[in-house]
Amino acid sequence: METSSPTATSTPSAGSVVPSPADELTRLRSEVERLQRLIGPSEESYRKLRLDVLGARDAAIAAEAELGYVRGQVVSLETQLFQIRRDYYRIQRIAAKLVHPSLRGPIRQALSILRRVLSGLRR
Amino acid sequence: MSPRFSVITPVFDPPADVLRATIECILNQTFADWELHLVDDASPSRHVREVLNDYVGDPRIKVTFRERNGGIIASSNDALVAATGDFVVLLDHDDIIDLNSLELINNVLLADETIDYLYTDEDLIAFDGSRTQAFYKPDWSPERFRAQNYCCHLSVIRRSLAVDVGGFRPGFEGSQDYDLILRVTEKARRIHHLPKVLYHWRQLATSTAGDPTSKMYAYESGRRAIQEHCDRIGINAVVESLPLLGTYRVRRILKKHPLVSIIIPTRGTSGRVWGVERCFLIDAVQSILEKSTYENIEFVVVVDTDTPPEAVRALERIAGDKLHLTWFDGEFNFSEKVNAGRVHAKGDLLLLLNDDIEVISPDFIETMVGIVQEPDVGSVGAKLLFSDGTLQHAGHVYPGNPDHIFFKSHNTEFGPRGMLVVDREVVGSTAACLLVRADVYDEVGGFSPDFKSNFNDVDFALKLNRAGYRNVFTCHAELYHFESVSRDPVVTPEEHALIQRRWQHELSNDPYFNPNLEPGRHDWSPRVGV
Repeated sequence: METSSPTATSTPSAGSVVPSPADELTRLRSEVERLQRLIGPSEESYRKLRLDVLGARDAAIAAEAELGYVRGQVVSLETQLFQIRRDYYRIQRIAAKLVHPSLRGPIRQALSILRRVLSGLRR
Repeated sequence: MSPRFSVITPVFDPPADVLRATIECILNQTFADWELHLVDDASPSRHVREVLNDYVGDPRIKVTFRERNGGIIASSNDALVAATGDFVVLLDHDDIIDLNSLELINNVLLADETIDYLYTDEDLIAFDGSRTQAFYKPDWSPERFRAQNYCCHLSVIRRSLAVDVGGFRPGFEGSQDYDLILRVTEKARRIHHLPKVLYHWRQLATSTAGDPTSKMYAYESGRRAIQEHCDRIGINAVVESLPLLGTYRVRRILKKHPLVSIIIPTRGTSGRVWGVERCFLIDAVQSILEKSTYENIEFVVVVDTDTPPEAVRALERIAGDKLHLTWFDGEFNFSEKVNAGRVHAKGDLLLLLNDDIEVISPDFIETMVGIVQEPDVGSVGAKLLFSDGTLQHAGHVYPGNPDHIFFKSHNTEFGPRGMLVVDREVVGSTAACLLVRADVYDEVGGFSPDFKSNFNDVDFALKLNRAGYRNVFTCHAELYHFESVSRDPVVTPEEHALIQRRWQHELSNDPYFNPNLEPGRHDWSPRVGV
């Protein structure tokens, strides 16, 4: 369906008065003022609003980047923990092989007593 | 027949015990056929002459005393000229190699007589004498070698080739070995990496190993060596030093700007990023139009028929005549969608792109185009970050199963020996942002529809490798990729089984990984017992 535009202007007919450029400028300025009043916020505040939006976006990116930095550190620490744990078990296995079998029982008992004493002290 | 080794060691004022340890490590080699050339460059300390004189009687050791100090290049050339072996072994006057090094190298050289250059892994001897910072290197990676001298120690070069290329060149002080290896590898028939830590680089206050700032001139020499290498082999580029000492960027200069067809498979989905709801497709295209400095592009957008019409209208409005829309009404199949896009692409270059990206580097297309135009390059991948700045993609690694290198690490990390901040070969890259020449894409048959959702890029990369191409990752093309940080992509057991069935050997033998690293991990953790 074809619709006509309510703002369409007709071509000035022959003999109609053509406004001077100064009059036209005045008319357009008043029209801008009228439209600005209709819009509500002024162009200036609209610009500010846009800046606020962009600022909020930057703040959100920065905040998330902070979070990402911490996440990255967690990943790095997890890697280190993996390596330390693995090395610890390896050293434990090597140490266990070095200890004479007859001494393993007493050492285990001594370690268990030591652990109990330490946990008692902590309490 | 076993080759003969000429170990060449220029000497200038090392501590006596250190020099003695260096000589003894050669004397005690398990392999017998070697000669050691020690060239003293007029060391001012009397102990150097005393130590060297102790070995003068040994017929295997040739000691030369230069009358005047001529610098490391002159002494190295003296040693090279005097050498008579089949291979020269470069050993610094304060370092040591394992006692079975020459034997192991001999075994490799015997198995393949076309090897002209061989390098091994290395570590450092800390100030307290302990071993530290083992460097488990990739197999031959020319792009990485243009970005840093990762081969370094231990280097073994066929002597005739070292002489043919002119030996050590004056003017490259501090990077004379880098310059030599660049020229040698340009002509070598075969380059071999022996993945064993055979070389132990001693940290001294005066050595680069102990203080990287002790020889700043060396980094500028290194930059010039790479620049000349690029000029020689026809890479039109400017070489720049990077903030991490000893790393460089080869910035290609484009003479032509061929049409790049950006293929984006999409359903026009929306999501929340940085607190704001966005239609990924629209924002991705918008960010390319606004930020990218490469102008000769077209968008080939492959849309599902259920894509929201308002997204399609917005796309048509912003992309204008750069847009070619292709409708896809089949069952979801990422590979089929990319292949459909290729059919309608007019460009010589195809940039496969996910719709959930945003440009960070304005020259990301130029950077990738510069690399992919080299005839032996199959694909170029980009560095992708999650919205929080952690790494989504810095190249694939296949340590048993496909994975992303240093996944979810922070973007500020350099990685082991700076691997995250240099361009390098990778076994493959994600198709979320992948540049490939159209003829190469067609040559390997595009994406396999067998991989509907996952591993299609892995399969594609391995097909490129199989066809003889190298895949390159560039860290200088950065984009955001808004794949959810908290959600791991769901991979079905069937997909795992399929990729393993097709590429089992390749998935466990990534040439840019290292057998000394823990299988199954992407973070370069050393293997147990290493």
